[in-house]
Amino acid sequence: MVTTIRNLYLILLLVGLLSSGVLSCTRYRQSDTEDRLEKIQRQIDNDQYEESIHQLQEILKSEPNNDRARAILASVYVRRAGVVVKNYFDLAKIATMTDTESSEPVIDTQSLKKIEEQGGAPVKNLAVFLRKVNETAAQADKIVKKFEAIPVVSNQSARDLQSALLNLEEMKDPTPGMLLYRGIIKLYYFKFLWVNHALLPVGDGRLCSLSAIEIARKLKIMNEYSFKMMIDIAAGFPKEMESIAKQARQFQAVMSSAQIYLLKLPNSELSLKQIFKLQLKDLNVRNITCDF
Amino acid sequence: MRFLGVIFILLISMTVHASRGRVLNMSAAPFFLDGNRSFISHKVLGTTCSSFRSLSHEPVCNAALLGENQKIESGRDHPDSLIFPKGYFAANIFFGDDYEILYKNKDAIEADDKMILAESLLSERDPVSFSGSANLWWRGETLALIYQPLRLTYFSLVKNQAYPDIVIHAMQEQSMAVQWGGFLNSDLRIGLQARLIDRKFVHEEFNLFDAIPEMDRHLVLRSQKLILIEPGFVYEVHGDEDVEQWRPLLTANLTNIGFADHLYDDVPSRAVLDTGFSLSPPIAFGDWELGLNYRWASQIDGDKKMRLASQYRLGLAGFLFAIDQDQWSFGVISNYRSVSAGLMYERTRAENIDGQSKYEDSGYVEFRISL
Repeated sequence: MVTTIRNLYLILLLVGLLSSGVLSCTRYRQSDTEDRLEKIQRQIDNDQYEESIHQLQEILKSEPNNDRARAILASVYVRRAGVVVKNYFDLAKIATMTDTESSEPVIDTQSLKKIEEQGGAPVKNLAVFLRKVNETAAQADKIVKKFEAIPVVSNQSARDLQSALLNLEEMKDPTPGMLLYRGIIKLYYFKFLWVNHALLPVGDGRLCSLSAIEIARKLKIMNEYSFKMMIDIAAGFPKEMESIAKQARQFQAVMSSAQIYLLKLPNSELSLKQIFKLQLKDLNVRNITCDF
Repeated sequence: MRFLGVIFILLISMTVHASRGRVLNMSAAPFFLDGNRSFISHKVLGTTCSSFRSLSHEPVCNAALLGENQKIESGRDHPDSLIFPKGYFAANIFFGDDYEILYKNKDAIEADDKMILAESLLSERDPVSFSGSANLWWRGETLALIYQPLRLTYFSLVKNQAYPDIVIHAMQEQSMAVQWGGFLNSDLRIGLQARLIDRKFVHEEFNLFDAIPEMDRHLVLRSQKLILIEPGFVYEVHGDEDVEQWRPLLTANLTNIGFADHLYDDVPSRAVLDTGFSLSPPIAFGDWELGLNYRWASQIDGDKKMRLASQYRLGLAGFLFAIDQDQWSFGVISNYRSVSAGLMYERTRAENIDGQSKYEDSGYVEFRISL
């Protein structure tokens, strides 16, 4: 009997030692990049932004082609900007809608018609340009109205979004999902730029205070930005890609056309308001002033 | 005292490594292995359940432990509280918290509406876990039949709200098990459990933006039918009167062995081996059982570990407690005539970021009726 008890103690002791040995010999999975990225994602959820940025930059130094790390780095800035894309699914439905209701034209169309009827070639060019301004502003306004759910971010948050986009532009071989993500962030930034009149400042005399050359430059920037934005978004919707791409090309065509007519205007270094005055002074057109 | 010393050594060997946290990548994988753990006692005890002889009112975890009634009839001394009825029918329902979120997502799962499901998940910041089931069983002296007409499990986690990685598990399962166990000789018992399982599930981890362009390939409903043959062994340690009073057992249980119509990489398919021992220290009031189990083999990261558990029963009430390096559980069960109810609380360490742990808390309830 004593032998049996002693054996029991020995067995139990052996089990204890063995399990200690097993536990200490257990190979812990070495931290690889994916493990680090997972840990960083948890840090982001815990609002540890600076530490996350630092660690992601370290990873990108050794793995500059790691697009996933780059996307996660962008997401830190996006998260810090207070932009949470959980409303993405509503945005997705809106993006595939064909048309919203038309907005009010910036420049009164009846007046435009009078200008066209009465003026010679230079004035007609001005009138065509102003029609293009109407179309461009209407298209941009449609985009903004479609995505009313997107909040307007603060200046600081906009700087964070810009940092995010700079990182996303450096992706080497992005997946369609990463392109979609970039497009969504561009959409947020687009809204900020539009609402703050940084793209094409329309209304309250802002456009008229700019020179024709300056307006053409802004149209070019807006053209490139919005086209790339819409193509990025289209990458995430293979079935609707053609429809979205078609909308993007239409918008691009309108703005390109506006640029062309703008550069045909005489005295393009003058402000639009001054060009208006010069072009319309001999015409019998009342109540047309450049105040948009 | 010597026994306590040895237990102390085992505890030390366990707690030395207790500080390592567990990374939950697919923490829902254990749901595939916990099908027969749909009772408060089983859930609290966890892997140690395979070593506990004192589960009198529910199916055993180790089929070899069914032989308790044979032992009684052989005339050996036993505590009154361990008098097992010769045969009885019983039924229970068992479920955890976060049911509301499960119910909300269950409709989307059944309707196969992936967009609504994914949108709903994005709104859940913390991990959500749920388990619920209904069971009917008959337990005799050496034979038991268990039918589980429905078992539902759910787990979801969203990582990084600004560029979400989503972990989701949702499963509906039905099963039937037959257990047989008995004595080979005075020391050794063997048992066998045969289980039929039919499950449908969604079990996946993906990045939301990468999934959108090809949503049809994600959140796909999968099915699996299994036949599992699971042997169990119990060795009764005999000695002098002291030893007999402590009633030590050494146990081994092999589970998750059998055949499946489909095998999936992310569903555990390898055998799981649990070995352990239990003691029933003699005390003045009530019955007390202590058990220790080590899981030697499992595909799930962090599953190979020691677990210590204890059950104390006095009169109508039973108290259970268990702990391992990542989790501790506490449960209370009360029996009155043919009705019983139980509650349990479980805290699991979910993360270990820079020394800071995050915990998941869960509560479960069981209602049972015996005939």
